[in-house]
Amino acid sequence: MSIILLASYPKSGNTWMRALLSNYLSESDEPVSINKLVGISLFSRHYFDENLGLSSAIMTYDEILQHRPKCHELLAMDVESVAFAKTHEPYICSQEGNPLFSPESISGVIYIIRNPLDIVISYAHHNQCEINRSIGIMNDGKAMLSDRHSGIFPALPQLVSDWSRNVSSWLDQDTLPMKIVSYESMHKNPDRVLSETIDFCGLDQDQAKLVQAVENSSFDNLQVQEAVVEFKMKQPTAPNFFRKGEVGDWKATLSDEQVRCIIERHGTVMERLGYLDGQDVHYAKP
Amino acid sequence: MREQADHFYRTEREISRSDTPYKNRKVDLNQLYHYRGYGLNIGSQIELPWHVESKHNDPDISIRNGKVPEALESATETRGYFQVANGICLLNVQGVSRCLISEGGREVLFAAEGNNRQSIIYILDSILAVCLHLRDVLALNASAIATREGAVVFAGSAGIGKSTVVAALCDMGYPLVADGIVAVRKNDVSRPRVFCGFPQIRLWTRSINTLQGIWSKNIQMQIRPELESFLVSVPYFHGKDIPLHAVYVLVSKNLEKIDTKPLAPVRAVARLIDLACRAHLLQGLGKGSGHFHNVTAIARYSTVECLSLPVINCPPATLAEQISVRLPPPA
Repeated sequence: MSIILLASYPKSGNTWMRALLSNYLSESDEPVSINKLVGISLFSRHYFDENLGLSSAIMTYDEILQHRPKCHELLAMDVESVAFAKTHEPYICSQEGNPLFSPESISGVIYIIRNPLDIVISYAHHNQCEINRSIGIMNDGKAMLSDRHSGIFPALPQLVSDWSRNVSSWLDQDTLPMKIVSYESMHKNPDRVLSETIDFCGLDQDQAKLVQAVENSSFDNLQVQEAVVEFKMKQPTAPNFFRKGEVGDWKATLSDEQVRCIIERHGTVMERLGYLDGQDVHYAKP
Repeated sequence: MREQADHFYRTEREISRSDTPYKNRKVDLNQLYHYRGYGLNIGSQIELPWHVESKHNDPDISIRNGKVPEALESATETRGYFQVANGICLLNVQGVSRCLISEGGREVLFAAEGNNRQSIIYILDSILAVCLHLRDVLALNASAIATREGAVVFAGSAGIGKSTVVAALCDMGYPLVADGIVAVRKNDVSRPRVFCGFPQIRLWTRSINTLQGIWSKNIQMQIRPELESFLVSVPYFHGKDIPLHAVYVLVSKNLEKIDTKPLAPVRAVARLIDLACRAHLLQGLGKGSGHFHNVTAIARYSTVECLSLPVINCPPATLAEQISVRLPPPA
């Protein structure tokens, strides 16, 4: 009947949130398999082609974007009650001015934020690239997923944009009901975050299930699962998906120059989110 | 062999004609582009990105410009841009084009908002799939090659790499049967038959550059100037229908080399139903049971296996070498 978006810039805790919700919604006390987490795909090229009758392979990104809201309407019709869908896209409109995510199909958004100083390290590990390359991706306003000019993928191309634009686009939208969750708060108090998220989604509170869900979704448990089964979200070249799950890793990992570079580019939005509070003045005023 | 293919369709055509005789059919054959694929003569007022054939006098499908309604008043099913009613299918892509398929898939009326030729290529696969389904022919999202034992079909979702796999196998001497859509029809007494498509493959620059052989020299046309996607003529084409030998359902996995796994008949049927092109229209078109019989015939008479392709960049020639070990020799 409707879709709740789990939106975030990549490596901000989206999969962790899916694990928390999956385990909360599970009827079993056993941990939900990391390959069976909640979330329908909004980007399936097969679904788009089959249900709209169009051949996305011979359409440009802008043309695909124009028709995706129709696809979301169909997906919302296909689900029985509420379904979760993950996205790393910003809140954007097509060239015709129509929002990609509209209230006709999306009933709410859980937007997950994370300190970009920690994201670059996690993203570098995920993509198996140098941290400076990861900073470059995070600064790229045209950054996309599943987009290669010279080929196509089973997933439709998705704009991610740079970190600041991705975050700002969601903070500034007032069309869809939204709850903002930070990775740092998920780390510090997952019970409370999950409880608030459940409230936002209109789900019934069950304290015993909540405690079990937090335990089953702990970083240690997710790592244990990944050691046994191949996680389909892992990049083929990366050794693992669930790496450290720490807050503030940047302090020991990034060089001063790398920190300065990120803050120069994203300081305004970081300040808006409080990520510059308590930092050295040297970094706080880009 | 072409007679054999025509035989399958003739029965259907005769039935359709007796039920719904042609009305208002005034097609000037001299003004049509002529194509032949999937055992069908196709005449179109709009130039299509298919290999052009010499003129034929009696198109099995005629595509022409005309007035197309925005909606079907008697629609029994509406989904996305599709509407279906009594064997008629309307595709109304707002702001792009409208298309009405009727007369058992023989008549296609088309109206574009802008450029005729560009607008029709977005929905050409849908037109073809509906016209085949209306003839009780299963249209699979797949590509196929010819072996001595029959056609080997590689089915899978868009973007999984069907065309690249088939092109690499063409490099090894396997003739192409069809690319993009594979048409299969059950045969009451033996294996289902696969109809040949067009002697061309749609490839992206990335694939052309990584394939060996003559692909960069055989480019016929760029599909759109904005996209690095090309129609390329094939060195070997199996220009006649052929019994089905095997179906490989392609998936991608984090593997270093390909892996195959037989699918149990029930799972095979489920996967093939999922991979039928525009299958959700079949019930509304009154073709649900015919479609199911085609799928079960495939599962009954041929091997259906899951073929996992490595996600990590693996040269097409290497993929083809690994796959060909499991295949009969080229036809």
